[in-house]
Amino acid sequence: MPVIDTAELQRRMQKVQTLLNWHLGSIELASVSADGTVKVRFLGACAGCPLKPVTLVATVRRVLAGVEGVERVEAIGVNISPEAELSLAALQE
Amino acid sequence: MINDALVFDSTLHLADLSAEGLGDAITDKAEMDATVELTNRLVGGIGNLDLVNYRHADGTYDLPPEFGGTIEAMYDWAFKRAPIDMALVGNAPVIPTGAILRAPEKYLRFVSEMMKAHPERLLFGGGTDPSGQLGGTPTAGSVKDALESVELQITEFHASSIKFYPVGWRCDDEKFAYPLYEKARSLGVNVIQFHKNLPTLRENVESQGPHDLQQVSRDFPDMTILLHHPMQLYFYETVSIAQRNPNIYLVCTPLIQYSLYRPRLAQELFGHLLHEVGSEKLIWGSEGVLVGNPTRILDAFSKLEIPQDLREGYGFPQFTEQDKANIVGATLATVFGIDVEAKKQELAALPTGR
Repeated sequence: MPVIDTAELQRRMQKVQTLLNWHLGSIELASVSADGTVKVRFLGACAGCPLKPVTLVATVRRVLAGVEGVERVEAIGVNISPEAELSLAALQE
Repeated sequence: MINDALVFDSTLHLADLSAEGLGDAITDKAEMDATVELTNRLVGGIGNLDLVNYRHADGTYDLPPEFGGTIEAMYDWAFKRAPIDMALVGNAPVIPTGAILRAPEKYLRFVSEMMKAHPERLLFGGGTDPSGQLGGTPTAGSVKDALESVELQITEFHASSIKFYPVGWRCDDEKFAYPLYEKARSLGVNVIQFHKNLPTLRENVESQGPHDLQQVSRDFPDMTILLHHPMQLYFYETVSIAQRNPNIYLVCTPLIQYSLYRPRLAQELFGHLLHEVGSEKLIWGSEGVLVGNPTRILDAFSKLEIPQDLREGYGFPQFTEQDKANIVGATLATVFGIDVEAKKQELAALPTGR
């Protein structure tokens, strides 16, 4: 399993952060696991936004997807069913 | 177009996020320190301002192109990759790191250029914040500044409405808020919009309630009020307010988005709205570009039905094709005096790429 390119991950996280700042929101890196799972935490206006599952899929995952070694991106506090995940997956295309 | 219905997006948040669009880099260390401190206090983190130029010199992107900040990319996102026919371009709540607060004239010029390029498809939503705190096209933080901003946006940038993100002030404040509505009306703009029911940071939820729009509705009966975000918080209050006040319309985000990944909740909430408010007062918005391309969400909404148990148990009506046509575009077109059939013909006659 490839090791996560942490420098690129940080660089892209900063870009996502700037995008979310635009809407009064923000995001931080919570953890990186050896199995390629990246966990993030929404901050600011994103923390209480009902659309944060959509932002996770449509923006955060799309931006972080190209980082070598990243297998999954999860967000602390985004608690949705596998069925909802499946529905949202279409937004990542 | 969806099923021959005009698709008119009420909440397309556009901005040029390229380095040029963001304005001059902050070079003063004290200003940078103050910006970082304020942003950390407000939202917990600031993006690296050195890294905001997403568009490379060769025209490529390392982020999805809709964040590249070109008019072409925005056009492609909204009108080619999504079935949007028209959009009301509006601002989002912003913080001092954002292009809009740092360089409002550049934001307005970007929107203006976009509208000049595609006048058949775009209206400028406009917006301001008399408190200078969070939302809207910026002011230095006074009613006087906000009044000047309203005048500038209407007279020079042809704003068709003015949107407010009231945090820390009441919409029915006769001294603080009413002059702004009166200014817009005096300049021929009769549509005002309000962010409600969705707290942004750590303000009290009651400050986001829709209650203060009731007096505004009564005091400005000739103006149209777009109340954003009928959702779980204050839902029944919002329904009651929209039901009884003829000039209040509801902009149904995030309910449209719920159609995709929370369909049962969307059915229940839309069921109430159809039953008690009526689709002729309901409007959709994409909230793009940060929440993704709306194609799949509109697909899900077009298939959304009120199931039998909700029709039997709550007396909700079934969606009709006209309901959906109203929600995705006809209601907003009516608000702005646009003839739906004439607009459809006008857009159909445009050359490819327009």
